Amino acid sequence: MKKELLDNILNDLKNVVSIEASAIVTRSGLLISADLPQNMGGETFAAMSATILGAAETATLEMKKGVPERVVITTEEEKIITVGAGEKALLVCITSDPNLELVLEELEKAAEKVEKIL
Amino acid sequence: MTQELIIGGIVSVAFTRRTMGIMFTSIYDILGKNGADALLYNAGRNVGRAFVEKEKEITKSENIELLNKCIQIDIDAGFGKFEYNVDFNKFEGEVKLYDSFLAKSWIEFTKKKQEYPVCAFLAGYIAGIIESTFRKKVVVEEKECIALGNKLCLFEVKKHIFGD
Repeated sequence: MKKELLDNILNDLKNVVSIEASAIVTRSGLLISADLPQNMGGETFAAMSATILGAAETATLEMKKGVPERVVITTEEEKIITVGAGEKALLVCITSDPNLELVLEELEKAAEKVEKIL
Repeated sequence: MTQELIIGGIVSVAFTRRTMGIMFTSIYDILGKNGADALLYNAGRNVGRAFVEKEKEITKSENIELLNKCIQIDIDAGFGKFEYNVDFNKFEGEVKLYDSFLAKSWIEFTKKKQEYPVCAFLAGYIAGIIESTFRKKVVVEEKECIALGNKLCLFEVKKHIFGD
């Protein structure tokens, strides 16, 4: 049941903004729900996302700058965006949507829904 | 050429517990608990899977027989004493680990109790062993840890949300 609800969140997200891949992952890197291309290793993607967010949190806390709201990795073609979804999970997506503000807004909304479900 | 360390016919390396403690605590210092857990669980799972695949090839054994062989090798290698109390029909249960080399390495180096379980590598390792042996996806979470002051490390095994 929870799995279906979480799958729906990722589907809804894809309908609003241009998303190539997305996943809901536990803070310790386990994949909970994913909408990924077939050539993408879900487990590794999940672990990497959690590791990157964890490292970012350590860095900002070390500098006494609070907890990061999100991590955005920008390549020439796309952005990988990771946001926290409560204490238990995080939400990560890969997007080439030019409207970054809209993507971030929708990601935050989705993350809140994930938090409520988990 | 330096002399190689051979254990059970396999070229090996040995680390002191203190060195292991330094390595693992450094990873947690940089990545934080969640980041380090994610990295080490994934690494442990890959190690567990590779270990089972190799043992399967060497011993031609399967399922419980294969699992028992792996458990014995781990005990002989000094990982600690594993006790698998898992229902392999439902893929639910627990694994007890006495004398976890990892938890003891932390204590050896830090000389104090930890605030959280530290055996994410071994949780992933157990998941990898079960997954490769029985071809079912599982999630393994450490509930008790020697590094927290518990008598043993206790891992909960649950079927993965993705099933097979």
